[in-house]
Amino acid sequence: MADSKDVDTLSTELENRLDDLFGDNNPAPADAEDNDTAAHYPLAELKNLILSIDWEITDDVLGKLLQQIKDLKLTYKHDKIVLTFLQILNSLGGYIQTNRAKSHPKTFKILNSVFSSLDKVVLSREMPETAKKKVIEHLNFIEQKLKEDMGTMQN
Amino acid sequence: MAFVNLKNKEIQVKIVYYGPGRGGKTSNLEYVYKKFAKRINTEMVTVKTHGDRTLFFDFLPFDIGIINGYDVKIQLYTVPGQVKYNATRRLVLRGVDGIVFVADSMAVRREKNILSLKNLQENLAAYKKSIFRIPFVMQYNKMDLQEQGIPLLPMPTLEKDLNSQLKIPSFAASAVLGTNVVATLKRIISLTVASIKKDLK
Repeated sequence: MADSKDVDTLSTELENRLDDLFGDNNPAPADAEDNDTAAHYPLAELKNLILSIDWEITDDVLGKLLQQIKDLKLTYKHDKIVLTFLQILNSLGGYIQTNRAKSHPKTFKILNSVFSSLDKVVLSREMPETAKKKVIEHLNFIEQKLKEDMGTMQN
Repeated sequence: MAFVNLKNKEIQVKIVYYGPGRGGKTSNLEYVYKKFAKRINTEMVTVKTHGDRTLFFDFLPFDIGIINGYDVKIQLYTVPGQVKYNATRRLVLRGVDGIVFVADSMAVRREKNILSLKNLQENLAAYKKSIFRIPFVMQYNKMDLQEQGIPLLPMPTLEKDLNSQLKIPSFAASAVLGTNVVATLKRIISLTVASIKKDLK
């Protein structure tokens, strides 16, 4: 055991240091969020929100997710593939918002899977036209299937 | 036991914020980070990974400088509160030196607080640690909700439910407003560092 004098010295030293670090004399707030992240990877916030939903379904997160999708739709208004992905994510987000914890368990897997595909598309900037066409056809099929599944889930 | 490098005279202290889901653990760390980021010169990291294993936690490391000849580095962690993430909670508790239990003061969360504390006791036991011997601070969070007319548990009830046997320092707090967030942090750091110092002797 340490003698009491030693512990007292430690306590005083530590208290002083903690007061320096966490005292109330005009602490400087953190810098505003680094906008460079969004410029380098535009899906960063969307990714965080989708992962957050798997952690916890809250009104706050769902609201932010739908707003983020809306913002990205504007960013990618000339990219039909990305827009289709975003439309699917929007449908899934709306479905989760309505059904919350009662959402079909597959929904979260699909949500992550759709995001993962979107991520690949956004990161692989140049895609041949034929590949784009195939992706769109496949996406349309997924969207249609999802609508049917969600209808089944809700019944 | 904390990681102690006797050669470099460096001590790493691991403090875990534990408690029921949506109780305010992350809000505690966010408040500290947002208000003191420049002073503590660090980044808060939120780990959310999918893959072979789902792993979620927040991590805020910072250095408090030389104390009694040792460079003391603090690492704050949160654990996910949801019942299904017990494996992650147990993993984050590995090597823990001090704990803050963030209880949710809302009346409807009474049972969840008690279950979470019991869960903590069980998970610590897996590492052969006792909830009665580890440096420990209790925080009753969300006190600000009273002004919004949301029913809260009275302090005596919270103390009786969660602290009647532990008898540890406790704080009524609001992580969102920052009330007693720093007081909680300072107390757990003091208790933990003092405990490590005693073990070093």
